[in-house]
Amino acid sequence: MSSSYLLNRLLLAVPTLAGAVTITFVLLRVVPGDPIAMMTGPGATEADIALLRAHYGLDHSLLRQFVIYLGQLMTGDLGTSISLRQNVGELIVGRLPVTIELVLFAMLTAVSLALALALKGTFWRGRWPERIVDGFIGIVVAIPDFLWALSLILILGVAIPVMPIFGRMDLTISFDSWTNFYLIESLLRGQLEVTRSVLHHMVLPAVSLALPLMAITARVLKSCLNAEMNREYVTLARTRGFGRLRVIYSQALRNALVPATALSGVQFTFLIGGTVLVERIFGYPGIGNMAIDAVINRDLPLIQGLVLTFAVLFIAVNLLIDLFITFLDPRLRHD
Amino acid sequence: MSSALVIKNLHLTIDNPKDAVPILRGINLDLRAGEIHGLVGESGAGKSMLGRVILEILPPRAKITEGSIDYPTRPLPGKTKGRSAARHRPHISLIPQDPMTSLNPVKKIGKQMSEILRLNQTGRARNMLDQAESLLREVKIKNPARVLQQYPHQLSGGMRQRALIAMAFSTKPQIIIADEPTTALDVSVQRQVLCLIQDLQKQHGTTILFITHDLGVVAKICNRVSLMHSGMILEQGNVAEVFCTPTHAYTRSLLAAIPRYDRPLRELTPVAESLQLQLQREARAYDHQRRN
Repeated sequence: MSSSYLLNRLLLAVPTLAGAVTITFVLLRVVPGDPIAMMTGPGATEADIALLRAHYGLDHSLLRQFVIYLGQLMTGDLGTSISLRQNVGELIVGRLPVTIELVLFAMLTAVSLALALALKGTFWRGRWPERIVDGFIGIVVAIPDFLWALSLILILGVAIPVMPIFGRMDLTISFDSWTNFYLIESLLRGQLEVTRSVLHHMVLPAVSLALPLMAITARVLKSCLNAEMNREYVTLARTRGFGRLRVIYSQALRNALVPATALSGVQFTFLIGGTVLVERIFGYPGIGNMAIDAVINRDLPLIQGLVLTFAVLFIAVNLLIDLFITFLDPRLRHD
Repeated sequence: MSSALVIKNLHLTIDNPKDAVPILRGINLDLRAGEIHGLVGESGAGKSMLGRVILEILPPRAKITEGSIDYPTRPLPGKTKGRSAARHRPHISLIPQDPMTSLNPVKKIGKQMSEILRLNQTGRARNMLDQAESLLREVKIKNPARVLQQYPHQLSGGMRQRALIAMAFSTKPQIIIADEPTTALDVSVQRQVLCLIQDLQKQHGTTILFITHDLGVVAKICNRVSLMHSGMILEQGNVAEVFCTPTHAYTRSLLAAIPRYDRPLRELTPVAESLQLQLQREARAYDHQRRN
């Protein structure tokens, strides 16, 4: 692992981001929908609309607008939201921690459950309990996250109302957060009442996001493990006194994790996409929820800012995944 | 001479959904302690499967239907159904065929060797890496300290096979199954590896079952030899006897089929198709007889 490799990867991120920025900008202005029409009522006069148009710079040519936008981006300015009338950068920084906490919690749940399922399934290889594991994975993988969200609300929120189904924490509790990472911050500051409430509210949306991710991860990991179990080095380990379980976690697992982790970069995209719907369903105040509002209001600067954020997240996660794979497999290190 | 391993009338089949395919048909094999026993046969003869039976690494659908495997010099838990205890058999180890796929690609050689040592250690000194280093020195690896810190992909095929041989001997086994250990190596390395196996075998007094289809190798390093075809042993005996006075037609035909550099190619006679067919017929007749 060299720093030149890292630098290389970071440089490669620049054209990717530039592409994302350009495509978003052009698409948003090509598809029908007008932010000014959304913000003014039906009674607005032509003059009012023209005035607003000029105020937001929408009267310039497309190219001019793009140049202005890029110029602002360079200085770190994402513009001002049309519908919320606030700085887009500040809006996103405020909401992003909400989504990050939710996604991390969902990923942690999904990955640990997937590991357990895949390891158990491999342990029972060729015997009847393996079919139960496969069947379970098959059923869970077929149900999308929003359907889980709705079912969980119906069962645990309405039929047996034990779980909260709306918001990030109890409205009766007040928490003056500095970072907006409620879960981590309240834990560090020792305000466990807040931690408990945030966790309680996080369970259902996180589980909705985690279940499909768990199933697909378990399926991929299990098939990778199966492929490793048929390799000669595993058979050899068996002859040397490695037990049935030990040979899986001490020999096959690390090798199987290489392709399985590589595929999880794609799954992360689905997870981010999933937050948009799931946050909406649970009224969770993250950037996914904000994205839907932004689209409904045709809030061009906010949509652009959010897409850029998603792109940066995606690139960062994939870089981390690549680094992790290089850590796992020494054959990838020496070029 | 005492026996290290006695196989009596061993039958093995592979269960398919519809039928059971016989793989081994009444194998009788007696490995004498301290000998190198050659196991020769063409592809599909069942020689590797016989090795796997002894190592207890059979594929899931393979079933032993009859016969016994005994280790006279070593009292064993016998036919215990318990898993790990009976499975833990470091007194038999394997030198594999393909050194490219037989090492764990994500672990350093030193790590892999010390794992085996740790699992099979019977008390005493705990410094596994030092032990691993001296084992590598024993298989004539020039820079053992360096190799311990290397990953398999950084080593040549010959070096990997040496490391695997060191691993096979590291558990101080009584019996080693060498499953075509030189097939995947190039000719110049083959000879070194063969000499190495022979030297180590003499030093430790290990019994080796040497699976190969190279009769030349058998003649050089084996004491006795068994010839297999269609899951049966056709001929068995001292190497000198079998090579000089073969009794079975198949053995004679195999010996005639060894290419020799001092004879023209057209004098080379492959095993006749009629003989192959006859052997297969005999195998089927044997199955039929057993079923009734």
